Amino acid sequence: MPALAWLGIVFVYPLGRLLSASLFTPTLSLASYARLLGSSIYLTVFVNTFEIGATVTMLALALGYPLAFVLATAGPRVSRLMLAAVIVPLWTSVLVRTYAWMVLLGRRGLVNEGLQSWGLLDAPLPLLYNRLGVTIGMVHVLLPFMVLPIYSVMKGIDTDLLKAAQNLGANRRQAFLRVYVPLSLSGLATGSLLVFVSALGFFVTPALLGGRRDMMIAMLIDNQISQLLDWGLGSALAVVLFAITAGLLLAVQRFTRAERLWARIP
Amino acid sequence: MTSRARALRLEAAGPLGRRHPLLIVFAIATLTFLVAPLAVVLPISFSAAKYLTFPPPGWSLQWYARYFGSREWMSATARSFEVAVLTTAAATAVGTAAALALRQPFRGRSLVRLIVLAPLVVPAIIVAIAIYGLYAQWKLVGTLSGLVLAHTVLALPFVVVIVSATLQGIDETLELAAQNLGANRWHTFRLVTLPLIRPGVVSAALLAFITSFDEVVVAIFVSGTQAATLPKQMWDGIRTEIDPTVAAVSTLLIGVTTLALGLLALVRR
Amino acid sequence: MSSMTRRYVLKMGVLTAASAAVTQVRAPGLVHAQSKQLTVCSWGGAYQEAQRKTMFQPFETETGIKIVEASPTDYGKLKAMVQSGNVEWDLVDVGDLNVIAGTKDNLLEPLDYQTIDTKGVFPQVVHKYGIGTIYYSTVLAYSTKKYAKGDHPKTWAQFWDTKAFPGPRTMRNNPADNLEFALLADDVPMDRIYPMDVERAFRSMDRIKKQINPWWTTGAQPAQLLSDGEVELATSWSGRIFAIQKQGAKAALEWNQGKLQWDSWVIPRGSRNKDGAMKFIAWSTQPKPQAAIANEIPYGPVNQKAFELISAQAAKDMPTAPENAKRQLMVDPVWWGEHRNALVERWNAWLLK
Repeated sequence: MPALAWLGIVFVYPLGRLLSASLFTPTLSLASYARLLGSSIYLTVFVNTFEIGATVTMLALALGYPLAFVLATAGPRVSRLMLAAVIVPLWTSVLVRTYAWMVLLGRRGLVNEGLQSWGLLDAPLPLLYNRLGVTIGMVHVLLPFMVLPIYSVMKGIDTDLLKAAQNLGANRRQAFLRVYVPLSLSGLATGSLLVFVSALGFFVTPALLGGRRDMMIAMLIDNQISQLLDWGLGSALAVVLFAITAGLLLAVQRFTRAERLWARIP
Repeated sequence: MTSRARALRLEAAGPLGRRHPLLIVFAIATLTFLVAPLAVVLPISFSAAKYLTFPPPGWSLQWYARYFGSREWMSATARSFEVAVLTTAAATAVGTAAALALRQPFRGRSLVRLIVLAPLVVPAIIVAIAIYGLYAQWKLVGTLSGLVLAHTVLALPFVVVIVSATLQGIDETLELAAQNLGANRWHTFRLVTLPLIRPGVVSAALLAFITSFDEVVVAIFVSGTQAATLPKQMWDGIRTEIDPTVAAVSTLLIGVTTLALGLLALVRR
Repeated sequence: MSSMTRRYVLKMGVLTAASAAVTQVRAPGLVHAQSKQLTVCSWGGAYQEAQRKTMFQPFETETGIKIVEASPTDYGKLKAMVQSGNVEWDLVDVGDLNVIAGTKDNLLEPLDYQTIDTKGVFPQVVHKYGIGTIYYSTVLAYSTKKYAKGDHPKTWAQFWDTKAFPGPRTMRNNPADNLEFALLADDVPMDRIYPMDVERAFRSMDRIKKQINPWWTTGAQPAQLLSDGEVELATSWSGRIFAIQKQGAKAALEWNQGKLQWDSWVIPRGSRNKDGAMKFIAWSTQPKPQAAIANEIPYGPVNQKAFELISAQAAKDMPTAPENAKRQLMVDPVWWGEHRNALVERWNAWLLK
């Protein structure tokens, strides 16, 4: 019965994509790969992408871990409210959120005007169309992906273990660092992985918020495909991105169980 | 506070003790960071200025009027609803069936699981150009069915994950009991399993709807000109227009999302 | 098959049939509607709004042919459409050079000059595969908030001078509206711009590259960026600045050393409503619509007879007004048509560095 159901899945999806992958070799795709690797420009874009991805992941972690902790340890009503504040942005269109940042970060946008009127700034800061703007926007969009996995893991931590540690003589800080944090690591790993992998493939946010030097792989792919009609190079880029994404996922899967991914959606 | 109340409070706070107030402030600041941009779009959409400027010099409904009065925006909205509804139907049906199938272990199950989950983590741009390349050959670019198919693929993992999680939570003995009493597989499903997982299925459907309605990257490539979806129209609008009609649309979209999530919360209750 | 499978297949079948039915119900409607519907792609923003008001809507009312709009024009997309056979645009408003490029790349339908009356149209813009829509200029635009006393840069050399005129700037992400300015900034006299010394132009661009952030891609952007305060200087299409002035923004432009050029209507090869497109072109080249759009946004009409119907203010702000035209450089679309593809590739690589 469900054989027909997932024949649908197995048929539709991979077929769609694999067939296209096979279309990647109409024009001696190895030559495209050679162009890709040989050109310092494209390599720069890859480096950019990784830089931005790493920065965004670390910031998301720094902001997300404490938030997840507070969420996990709050009372039921408060935590429901806070969760809503995390989930509504998560499901709001990325376009809407990026547009909001365009409005906020301009030279005469809310942030600059606010900082200036409070006397913290003399002249507006360039917050838009540069690495800073892209980073802020991406952290905002991806933060829920970090918070939710960590939160769900934290929720599952048995506080008895902490009580036990304290009974054995550890103070609160030690209990936290030595027991709680390691127990939350799998959530941390899942969240970081999700954020990093998503960041690598981001398109809308860097396209709208970034400057010339912030071109990421996805934008380059779009450029090649829709502007320059260079399917050979565009596809090569896509395949490389895909390989990196898949590689990362498989590598981390070795260390954490895939079941965690299932628990991601609230 | 009485010492008994205090003791209870401490007990409730758990062995981690009371959270440091700085931590709470930090958490609230982070939440503000998450929510603030959504809030900003609202006043802009009511701006009386003729182009995007902040703060708005006055209030007016002109951008909403513009949106509702524009043939392009309205057809894009209609299109988005069309696609989202069809996608929800397809994804929920196929996804639920798949979740059921994945309950029993069978050869290659983990591989299937991987494939099903893949759209969640594969970058949208790759999916977009892969589908675009394929559709260009099959002449599916700009067609309704093409877009529905693409969105179904993207929404499927959500459905499967949620329904699977729900399935894990139900008591299988109920199904076994039904079967022992003579019900066949379909009857068991329809009369026992489905009612039990209904909240999960409805949640999944809602999320599939949102996923399709808000989807932008694939739509940019695949939806074509005549049949642009709302996000595609917004993408063009942000880049080619100078007026805040996009802000009005954004506000409406935030409203729709909040509504859908609110429904979801009610269903879960 | 068990009954469950059967039910299931039925369910899936109904679903597929339903979605197919929806598409089918549209399909015959679509074919039928083809002749009654024209998809026009233009540049968006204030310009397309003016076109909508003065051309698309009146044309629809008069002829009953429904106009579906698309934007922005993108030569790459056009090429992709024609080459893949998925032509979605029936009529496209392109830059002058793209008529030549499009002819070279075999992407266009020849125009039917039996239907289209070119009486009164400047011969310069009449081409086998395209006909002019309006004259426009790419000019130096500036924020009047910053440069309120006429102290703005008046030449490209001054625009390039970031010491005398510091501040954020934006330029177009496209070689077409930049290389001539780069040469002018390097003190190449206006009558010696073409054929262009490309190496020299790129070297000149190198000098200003780092100051430009962001690089605009759509016509609305430079006007928006100026009015936002995001930049203080920009290159922009002339009409857009007037449009945003009308809405109260503090921006203005300088005609000196501007680049005078024109847009053309082209019909992609394989367009699904060729006849409708020809009809529209014939209709819009008449003096009345030409005057109407010039009065709405000050771009120059391609039909001389339109001048009788144009307001004095519009006549003054037009790029083709004698006062303004004499200070500008006239573009050479043939040179561009020849070199466009190579230059776009080079530009993209250059920008990434």
